[in-house]
Amino acid sequence: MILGIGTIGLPSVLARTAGPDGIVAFWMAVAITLAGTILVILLVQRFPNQGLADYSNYLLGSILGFVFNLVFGLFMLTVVSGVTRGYAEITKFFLLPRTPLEAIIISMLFSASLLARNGLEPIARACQILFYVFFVPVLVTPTFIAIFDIGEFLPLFQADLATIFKSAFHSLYSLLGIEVMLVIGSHAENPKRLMRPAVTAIGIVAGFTFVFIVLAFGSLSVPQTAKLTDPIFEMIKYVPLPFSILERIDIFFNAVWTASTYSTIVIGLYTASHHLAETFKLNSGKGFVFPLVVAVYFMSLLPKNEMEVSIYNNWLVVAWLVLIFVFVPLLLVISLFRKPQDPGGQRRSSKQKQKKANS
Amino acid sequence: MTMSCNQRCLSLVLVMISLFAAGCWDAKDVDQRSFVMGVAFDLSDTDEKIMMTIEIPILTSFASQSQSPQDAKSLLASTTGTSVAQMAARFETRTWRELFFGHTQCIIVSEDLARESILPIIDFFDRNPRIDRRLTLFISQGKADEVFHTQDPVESLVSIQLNQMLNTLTNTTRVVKRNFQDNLRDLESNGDTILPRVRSTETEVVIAGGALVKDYKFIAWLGENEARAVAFLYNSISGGVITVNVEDILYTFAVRSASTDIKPVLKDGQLSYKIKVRAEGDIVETFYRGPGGAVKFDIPKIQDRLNQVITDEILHLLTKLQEFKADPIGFDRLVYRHYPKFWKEHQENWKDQVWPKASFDVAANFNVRRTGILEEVTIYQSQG
Repeated sequence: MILGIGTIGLPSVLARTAGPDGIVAFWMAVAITLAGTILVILLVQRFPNQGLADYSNYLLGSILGFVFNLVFGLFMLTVVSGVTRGYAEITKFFLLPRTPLEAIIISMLFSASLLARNGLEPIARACQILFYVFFVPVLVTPTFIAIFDIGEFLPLFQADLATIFKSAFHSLYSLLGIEVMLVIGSHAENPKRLMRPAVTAIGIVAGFTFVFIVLAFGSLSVPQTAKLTDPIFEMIKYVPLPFSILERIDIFFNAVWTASTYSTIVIGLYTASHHLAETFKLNSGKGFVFPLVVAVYFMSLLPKNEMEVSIYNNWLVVAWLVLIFVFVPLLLVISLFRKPQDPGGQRRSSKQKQKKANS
Repeated sequence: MTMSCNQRCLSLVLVMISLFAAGCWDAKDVDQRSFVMGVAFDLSDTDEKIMMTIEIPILTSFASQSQSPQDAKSLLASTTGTSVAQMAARFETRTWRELFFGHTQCIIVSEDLARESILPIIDFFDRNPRIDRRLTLFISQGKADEVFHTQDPVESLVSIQLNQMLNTLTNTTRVVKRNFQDNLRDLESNGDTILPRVRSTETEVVIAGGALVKDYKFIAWLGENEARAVAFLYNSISGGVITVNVEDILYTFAVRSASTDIKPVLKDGQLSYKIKVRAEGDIVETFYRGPGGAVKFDIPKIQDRLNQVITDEILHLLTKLQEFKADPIGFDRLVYRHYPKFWKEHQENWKDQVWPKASFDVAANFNVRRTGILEEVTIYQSQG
């Protein structure tokens, strides 16, 4: 979940809701995400080597805990469905206009499920490779100088706080993802040291996304960015590239974006299946992947059109806010009164857990 | 090696997926497409308002060895309708090849149609995700489809010729060099822009001057000197020559680099703009008719004259824009950026009341770097 599916539409959302102050709104969204990250990691650190399904049962009681875990599983499924549908909509519009939405969804889900079934290590290795691929588009940045207008960022601080908050809320969809740490954080070699890499990861994602927002505002202008649905793709088409061989560089951006969506879907599927396996006390979540894929397929087809996809995504952000800023602090507070159990008892060592996850 | 049941099932699923979910629905070979290189729009005499003409290259003629002038390199087709999408669909009754606008190089709107509005024309292209936003939007002096009928003995496709001319023009500044994206940026800001003007004869097309568009409607032509002032204000000078007369000697200055900085100043409720033009380049020619001899270059005088010429041209253009109450350069955006409060108070009556009363302080600073490989001005004896 390095780059959210919403990244390509994020500049448009920011420009539409807050104008040049969209930059301010974006950093407010980053601050909210960082606060959420800190809460999540604090909780994970309270229960090293335990997944959400383990410690939520312990903190909330078996019945409430079970219900909470099912709801969290459903939330993860909804996230994956939203991402899959968003990917399919954009791919259909820009690349495959005649291909049925269902075929695009099936091909993506099928290829993602193959990796999701193979456990955390192959996913981590795939993401390691993709991480460097995501930096390649940054190399195109200097070509924007010719069409970049720094004046587009003025006037700053003109929007009121309510507008900034509203804009930040809409941009949160592009920054979701840290919630997976509730489940897979327990696989960290040393959970005590998890805070720094988690905050760094958010910083990298924020920096990377910020570059795209700045390029869109500066090259397309704020009013035009606001008007376009996916300004990142349009912005690339406008760049005066020196060689004709790079004329269709937007296709290359499309490929990088598809790879980032793929990584998001894989991690989402793995987290959901692994979490459900822990909820039902099973050794591996492998068997859950295909049934979840079927569920995601049907859920992703629920919104009737692009407008409904957008409403669906807004509800996802609300659910994310509730999870991170209501349930996670609640679990943290309860954990102050109900001390974490002895690591030698119920908890499994990270290596054992890793082995189990990979089996 | 025998395969287990699971492996067989997986292989079967993989084969099915690769057959049915590999995007084959969108497979379209190159020969199944009609590449629309240029589109022209005119007013129609029929009940249906607009006539759309498209230029499609005949790809087989490019591959053939024969270079007979009778071999047509492009196909021109016209239809009438009330909207661009409707007309584009109507072409499908004439060709089985799908019209593809991904390589369209230019859109030409006739002056008659542009006087009514260019908004309904550009919406189709602005909305289309396959459009290359670096194409050029022209206003034609006369009928737009006639530009495509030009029989240039050298060029095969008028659309490509127009686009290439505009993108490689460095030896003149008398053209408004803007692409579709630049125009959209202006138009979506306040509905005003300046588009390059194109006109044609039987054997050649000429791009020179500009067309002033206000509220999406063409309202006036801009001459070639005015187009040069526009280029300075748009900060899009990439070359060109300026000839000035200093003591009866004509000096031709080739611009190597230029930049323009515009700043709004609000003092006591009075809006003014400080416009600073900086340019540097070389003297590439001196021209004199009179008694022969040799004189030293008077660089400061040449620079002063250049400063004066460009300042006058810019002021002339700005006065004209104020008279038309049009703001294609985007002076309103500068006020919005630097004085948002003032902008909020006056945005409703910007074009009618505030913009026409704005004053300007133009300062040009031309720098002659070199005088070619000659140190002196050589004046030859006039023969006649």
